[in-house]
Amino acid sequence: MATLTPTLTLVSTDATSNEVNFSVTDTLTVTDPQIGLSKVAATTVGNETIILASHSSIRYLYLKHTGKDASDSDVTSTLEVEIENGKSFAELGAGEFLFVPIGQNSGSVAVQLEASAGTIVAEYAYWTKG
Amino acid sequence: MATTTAALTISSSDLVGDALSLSTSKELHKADTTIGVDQTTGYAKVYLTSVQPIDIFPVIQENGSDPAGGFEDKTHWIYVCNKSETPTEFVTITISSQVIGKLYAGDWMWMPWSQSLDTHAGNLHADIELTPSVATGMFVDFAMFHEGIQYPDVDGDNAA
Repeated sequence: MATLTPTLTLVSTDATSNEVNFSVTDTLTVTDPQIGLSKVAATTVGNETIILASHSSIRYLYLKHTGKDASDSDVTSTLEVEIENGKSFAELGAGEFLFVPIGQNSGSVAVQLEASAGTIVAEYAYWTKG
Repeated sequence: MATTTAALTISSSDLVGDALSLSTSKELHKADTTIGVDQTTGYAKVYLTSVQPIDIFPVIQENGSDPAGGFEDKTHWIYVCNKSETPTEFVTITISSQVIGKLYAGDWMWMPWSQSLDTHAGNLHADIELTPSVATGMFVDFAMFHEGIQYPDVDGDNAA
């Protein structure tokens, strides 16, 4: 077992009339399997880029759209985050990221990536709840 | 133009041989622009005392028959945190009836909210639901930053 500490901070001085500034930190006990920070080039076919296979445990997933394609050129296309073909639950633009606990739905939740056009390089990592 | 920035750090001193320290940040922009999102639900806190699924955010509307609708391609960012201090208590997160995952005590999530799957009648494009694991009471914090949502009309069908 190991300890993972994710912190999210949201800041805005002008989104509302009162300043937005909050931060939340969690202390997660995590175990294997885990995948350290990795890179993958997603294509327009979702099941070609399965980053998280079906599992019955909770996996804490970090995922980021790098804004680059497989040739290291800038891209503005979006990255669909799917639990299976055609079932997208999130869409990341260039530079955007997410941190979500995934899974424990009778072992049926996987995560695959699909580029809206061309290829998109994504960074990801996950850790299993201990 | 409003500027809202989300920053994430992930660290661990004992996960691997070398200390792990990951950080990233991103301004929240309207879809396909560099214009900051300018709407928010605000930071909210609720005390849930039922194990029935509930909606904490209005659904994203497809165009449908409502001229004011059509929010499926707009940007929405959501934060949800289970504030329970009992380790076994969790909330199940569902989007359009698809279970995404579970937030145990103290856990939180940050993600964009949009999807193409439409499993609802009435052109309800996407729908996030929370289901507490216990009815004994659980605090949940949540917030959404976005560029457009449509609150339900009085009869719930949002028809023009």
